Amino acid sequence: MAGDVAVMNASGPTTGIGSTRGAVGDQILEVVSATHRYGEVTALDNVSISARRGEFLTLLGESGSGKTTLLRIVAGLERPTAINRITIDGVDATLLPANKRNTTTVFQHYALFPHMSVGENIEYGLKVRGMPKQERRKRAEKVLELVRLPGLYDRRVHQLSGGQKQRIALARALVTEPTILLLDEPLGALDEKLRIDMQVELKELHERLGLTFIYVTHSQEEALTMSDRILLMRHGRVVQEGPPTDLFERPAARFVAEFMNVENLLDGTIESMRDGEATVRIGSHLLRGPWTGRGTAERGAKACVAVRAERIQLGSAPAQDASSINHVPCRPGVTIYKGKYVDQMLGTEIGPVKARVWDRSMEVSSASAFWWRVGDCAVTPIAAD
Amino acid sequence: MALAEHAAGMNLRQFLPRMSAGIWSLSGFTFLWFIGIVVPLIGILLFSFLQTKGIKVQWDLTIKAYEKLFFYGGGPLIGRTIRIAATMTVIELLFAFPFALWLAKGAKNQNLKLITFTLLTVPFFLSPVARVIVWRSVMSVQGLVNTALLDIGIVSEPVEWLIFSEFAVHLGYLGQYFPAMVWPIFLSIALIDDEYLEASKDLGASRFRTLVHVILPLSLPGIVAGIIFSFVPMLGDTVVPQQMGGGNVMMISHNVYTMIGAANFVMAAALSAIILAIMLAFQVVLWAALRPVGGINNVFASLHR
Amino acid sequence: MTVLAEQTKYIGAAPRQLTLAQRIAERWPAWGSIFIGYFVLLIIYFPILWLMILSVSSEPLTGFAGDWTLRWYDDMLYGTGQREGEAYAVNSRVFDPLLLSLKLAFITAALCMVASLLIGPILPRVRFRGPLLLGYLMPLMVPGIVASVSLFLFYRLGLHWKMGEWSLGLAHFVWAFPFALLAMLVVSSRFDTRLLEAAADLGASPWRRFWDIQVPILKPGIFAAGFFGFLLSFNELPFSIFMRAGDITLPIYLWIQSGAHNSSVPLIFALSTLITIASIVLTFIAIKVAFGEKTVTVKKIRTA
Repeated sequence: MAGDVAVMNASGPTTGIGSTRGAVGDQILEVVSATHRYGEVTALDNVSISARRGEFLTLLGESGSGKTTLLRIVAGLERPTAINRITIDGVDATLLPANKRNTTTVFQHYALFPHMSVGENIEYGLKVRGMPKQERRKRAEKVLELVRLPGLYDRRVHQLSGGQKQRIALARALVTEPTILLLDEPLGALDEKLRIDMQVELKELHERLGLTFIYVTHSQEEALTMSDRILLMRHGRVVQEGPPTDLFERPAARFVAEFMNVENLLDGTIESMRDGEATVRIGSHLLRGPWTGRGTAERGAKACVAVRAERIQLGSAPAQDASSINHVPCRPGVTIYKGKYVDQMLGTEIGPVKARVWDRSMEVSSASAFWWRVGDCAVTPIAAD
Repeated sequence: MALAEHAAGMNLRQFLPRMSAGIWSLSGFTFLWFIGIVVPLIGILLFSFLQTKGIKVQWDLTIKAYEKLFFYGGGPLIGRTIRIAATMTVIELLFAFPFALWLAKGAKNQNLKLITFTLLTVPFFLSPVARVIVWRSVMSVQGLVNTALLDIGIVSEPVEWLIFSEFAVHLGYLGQYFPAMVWPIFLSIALIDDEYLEASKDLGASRFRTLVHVILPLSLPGIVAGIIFSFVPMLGDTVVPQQMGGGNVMMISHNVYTMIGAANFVMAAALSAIILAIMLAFQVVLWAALRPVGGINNVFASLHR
Repeated sequence: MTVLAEQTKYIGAAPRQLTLAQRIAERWPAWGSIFIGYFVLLIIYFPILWLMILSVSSEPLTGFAGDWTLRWYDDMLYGTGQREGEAYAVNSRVFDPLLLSLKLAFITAALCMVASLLIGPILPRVRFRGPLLLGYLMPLMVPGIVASVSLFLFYRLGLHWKMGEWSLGLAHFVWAFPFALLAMLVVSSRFDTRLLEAAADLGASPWRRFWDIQVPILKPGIFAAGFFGFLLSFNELPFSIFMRAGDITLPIYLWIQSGAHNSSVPLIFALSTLITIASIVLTFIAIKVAFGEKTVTVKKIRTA
């Protein structure tokens, strides 16, 4: 249940600017205590979330983390096993089926209707709302321009490329002017280059329309690029939530650091704790860093020092004051050429460490020690929650 | 398979409000179907142990119907029917399997394939009587074949066993049930990925070994379906024994017809029950043989590809 | 994928050198199986063609064609004995069964379409789909005459219901529904239920989802179910034999007449010819529609 605490504190200090004006009128979505089970499997374990009007909220997690289930519960496509309530734009939507909720979804698999033309697909949401044909057509043409595919109105769905299908799915979801736009890994099926273009485009669209986006993805890079706020989920619970910088710089658990691709995760035990700074013992080494877990940790508790490879400096002796750095002797191992930089593997008494070297003139193989600034790492608890 | 099942389960759950309409219609229809069709079909097993007076049923269990049936020569009748149907099923299988294999993997000419598919489809929708009635005039003593044989001088007397004989019944069955054997086998072979065959070849397997170790096991469901779809209707065929056997080759259908006509309901029931019991046992064995390759659920898997 | 397989085949075949004898040895099973297959097709189609030819011959019972005449058609349509000059009255002995058969065929087709549309989409997605399917396919796994007797005994002797057109309709439905269901399942088991989710998400009510999404996409299956229902009912014999009260359908008329060793056999030839031609035409239309759609689908896949 610890997972929810973080979420319940959505208006706490970590949330950033928006939370300070977290008035009820500004809250467009509220899900309180949603639990969902598929037979024996608990997909969602008593999770509560909320979103502000106009926010770009990302649900991040591995497959099976419950992020898609949560999105589907918001959409009304899934009826949760147990829930306190869902409020969408001030209206209690707990018992409303999907077709009565003013949310639309962009599906990963597009789900375009194969027997309809592009125009018919886009207009379908308007058609079921009883809008006259001419008005429908006008809006469809307009939204096609918005997704930069004017002139595709009469095209058949099977004539579209993957990227075009994706945009049509987006257009179809946007044209009904939903209260919240739900995006379920919308870029998952696109190739790398197209994905990056679409990220930028989606972000621009979000800013232009001022719509609330709830975005599901398993890619931390996508989440970091686009979101105002990220909810990182695991095993049906929210592990950490906050703006992208929070998740990137201050992972609240070892799992978060791992998920955010922190290269070096050095496990040890808490030696001492003072003013939010933890000292961790790994073998005979003592490493310091800001404690990013909740509350404080007991002496002897298992902890992890998470430090990114690019924050590590190599050399023979540090130039800085020893009190502001963690310093470890090492012997150089394999050098991996990555083009823009090289990754240098280092053998140390605290286990293998990876350092990233951008300066090509540097003689990495002669390094006898490495160090990083205390503020450049994070000390996290090892148990996820 | 497990994954697919999981997904299916999820779908059902997601649509609780919508699917309930589907579930209701499925349950309702299934209920009617089982009460109205399956129960009567199985019920004949029970009925064969009863006696009737007119159309009044007497609810006392007895085996009189069976005693009478065997006293009046039911044994040889059933034996002959099964023998002929089984013989022709084996022959159909031997003829149909290579042909289906060629159609599925060998034939390259698309037009020829299309024509062949059409030729194999049309007979399903033709009147069985219309399909065999002409044999009588072709094979009769003054018919086409005999006249030709006499003219050429191959025989000096007209050949009498060409029609109204067991030979004629076999011939009638051959054409009547060939498509029913070819189609399922063709479909199951066509569904085998060419990559399997290539892989087998790459591993150095001969054509024969590929056939026995790859194609045969993978097309087993089709073969079983083909056997059922030809053996079963042959047992109960009303047209071929009548048209081609002409009273000389008695098979169960004619006897059932006569018994019902004579209001001898329980004997008809006993005869039907024996056939039904044999069929059920036969199919249990066949489906059991199919279990390793997915059994009946395999039908859905192959439909899905 | 086929292209890939084709290429691999080519690459695999290239280095092999075969002697002529080996080649023949490798090929003869193929030629043999092709020959047998088409030989049996000949056995299927020879009687049908010969029937048509004999139906316009003056001495059909001898099995010899020639001396062309339309007399048998005339007799069939207007009844024997009625010749030129007499008032032409349609031969009700043939036309009443024809009308009954048509009526039953349309009813069966409609029932098959509705039932397979109700069952087809949901059956692949329920837990007990295997046993359920076996239950629905049961009429295919029991000889027709046995099933027919079972139903007759159940309804007539068990429930004391009088046989009539209702029981003929039921019998035809029981016979045709398994085929109709299989045809529908071919389409419906590929149906992507996520499309229904998408429609719901866009605001479509359950009823609209059914009509706007499910029905149009399943249309080929519905059509096939109707087609199977119609033709299988139209030519159905074994089930009809007992499940009737004196009603005579066209196949029953043919069966009774062909069983009798009398002079009406030439009429049967003419009537069978007409039914066969009608069935073939209908089958061709259906195949055209089915394959036509398939070609479009193939094109769709290629252009996609």
